[in-house]
Amino acid sequence: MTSARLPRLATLAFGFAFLYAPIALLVIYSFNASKLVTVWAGFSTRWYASLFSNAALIASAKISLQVAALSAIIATFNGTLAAFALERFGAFRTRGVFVGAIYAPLVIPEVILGLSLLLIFVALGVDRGFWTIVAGHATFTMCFAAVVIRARLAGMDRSLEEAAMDLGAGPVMTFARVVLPQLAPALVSAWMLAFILSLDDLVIASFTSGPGSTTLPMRIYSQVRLGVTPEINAMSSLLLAAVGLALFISAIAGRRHES
Amino acid sequence: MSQTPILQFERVSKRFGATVAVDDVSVDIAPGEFFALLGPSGCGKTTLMRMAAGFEQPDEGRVLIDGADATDAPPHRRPVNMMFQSYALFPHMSVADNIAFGLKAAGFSREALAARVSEMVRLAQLQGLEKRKPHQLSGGQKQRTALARSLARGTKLLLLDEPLGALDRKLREETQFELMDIQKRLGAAFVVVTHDQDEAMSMADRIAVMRAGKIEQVGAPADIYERPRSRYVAEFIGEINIFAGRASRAGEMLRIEAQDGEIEAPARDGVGDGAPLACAVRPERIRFAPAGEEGANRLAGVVHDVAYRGDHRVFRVRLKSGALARVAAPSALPAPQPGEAATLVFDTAACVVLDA
Repeated sequence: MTSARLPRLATLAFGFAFLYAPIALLVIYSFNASKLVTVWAGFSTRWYASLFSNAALIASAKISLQVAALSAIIATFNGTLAAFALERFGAFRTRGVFVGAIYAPLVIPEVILGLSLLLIFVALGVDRGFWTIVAGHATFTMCFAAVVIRARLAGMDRSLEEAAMDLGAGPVMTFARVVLPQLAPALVSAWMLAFILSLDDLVIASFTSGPGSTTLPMRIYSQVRLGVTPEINAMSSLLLAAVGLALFISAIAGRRHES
Repeated sequence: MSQTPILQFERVSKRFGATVAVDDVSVDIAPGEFFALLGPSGCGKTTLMRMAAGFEQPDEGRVLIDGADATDAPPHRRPVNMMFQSYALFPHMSVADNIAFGLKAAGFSREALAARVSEMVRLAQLQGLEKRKPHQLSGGQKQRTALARSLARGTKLLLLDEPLGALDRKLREETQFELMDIQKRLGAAFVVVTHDQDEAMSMADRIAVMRAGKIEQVGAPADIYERPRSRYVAEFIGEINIFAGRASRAGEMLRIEAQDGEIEAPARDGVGDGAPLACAVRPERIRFAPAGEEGANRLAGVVHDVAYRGDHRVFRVRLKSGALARVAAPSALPAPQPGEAATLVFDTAACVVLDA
């Protein structure tokens, strides 16, 4: 028993190191006093301070958060509609086609999706900027939202809805008082997922953005091409913390609902 | 005299793809009646009930509730409530909120709602559990919550889908009596869907035995038990012995030449000589004939085995044809042992004549 313990722990450590060592390194170097990213020169929070005085980076962060929040709302709404169509309208004839059509963007290369979005915006004569990024992100994150919500919907006892109707509740009351509370954890997860995917996206944003609407990943990417600064490390660390917090909250929300 | 039925099915049919779930069913249910739809799974009894609740639309025919055509009314506009087999309690609501749901939908005032909820809590003996969530309840408590919720709106017609199906055996019997008691007190009509004949027999005023989308027979439990109209009904309800053979008229009687012997049965109209008929006899209507006794309806056999059931014993007797006949006799009476020869005897009146 104990003899097998050491190799097991070592495997575990190696596995997690493989996953998290690069990230840990990034976080550690965000507290580096030196300007050189690869040389440790003592602990400092100067890069965080300078980050907050970097107006361009902060502006991009704001845009990214707004795009992510808005596109996640649209994606969750549309994803809910799609999930209902696929799960509750029975086995209509073209259902298979629709299932495929909804899920295909999950595997379509982002470059292609970005390019086709660019083409359609150009064809329609839409000025590219904040709203075209929101539309682009809502488009591709909707599929993920639909998957999450549909799974929950499939697991829901239909007799609950029937019971509500039987007790005199019309479609609206049934949805608001019975379906929605049951669906809430999935809606939160779907929104969270769409939010994180949008926050993280570089490719589609690059195709759909216009002047004055540079998202954070785009800003980071363009700065890194000129050299990695510890400011970027600090920004990335904050981003990680935000995502981690979001996941933690959604996990807590999920557990509260289960009990 | 002729009250408007609370629920009427008029030549109702329902198909799912190629399968006919309900096939041209007509039946009336009276106000305040305890009615059971009885049949094996897949016989259409649940579909019939769901059409009364409005969850399924009949392909043909009409559904009338309290005399009004409800065929096309959506579930939330029907003066009918249903208790679901899974109970379908709202998991995110407390017992009290579950019970109050239908009252809120009906627009009860706050005071009226609170009064009605506590009345229902008392009726279903849920005192002290009002704040619990469904997952904190036992099976019996869930069942009573579901019942209270479905009765809260004061419906005159309650549909119950396998109401005792999820309970264990002992609780089931208690709950049977509780349901009957509540039904009598409220005076509402209860329509119960069940596959359990004991449940239907002990609770219902009338039973409809269903088979393959059709109602085979409707009647009081004793009627259905004593005078089944088909072999299917006879064999579905309780135990029965079937002796089949060619019939011939013999004055006031019918004579059936069964493989196990000649049987005298009560006459039935429209029976030609040589028609294939069956005589069906319940095990408790058969007894062991004392040696030397003479008369009609005597079948010889050898006792195969005996099952002791407390107040009575069930014998299986191997007859001439090799068939096993069942005999139920009070345990107090003297009876042959397994392996011993025995003569079975029953009254002519005990024989129900059926088409073979």
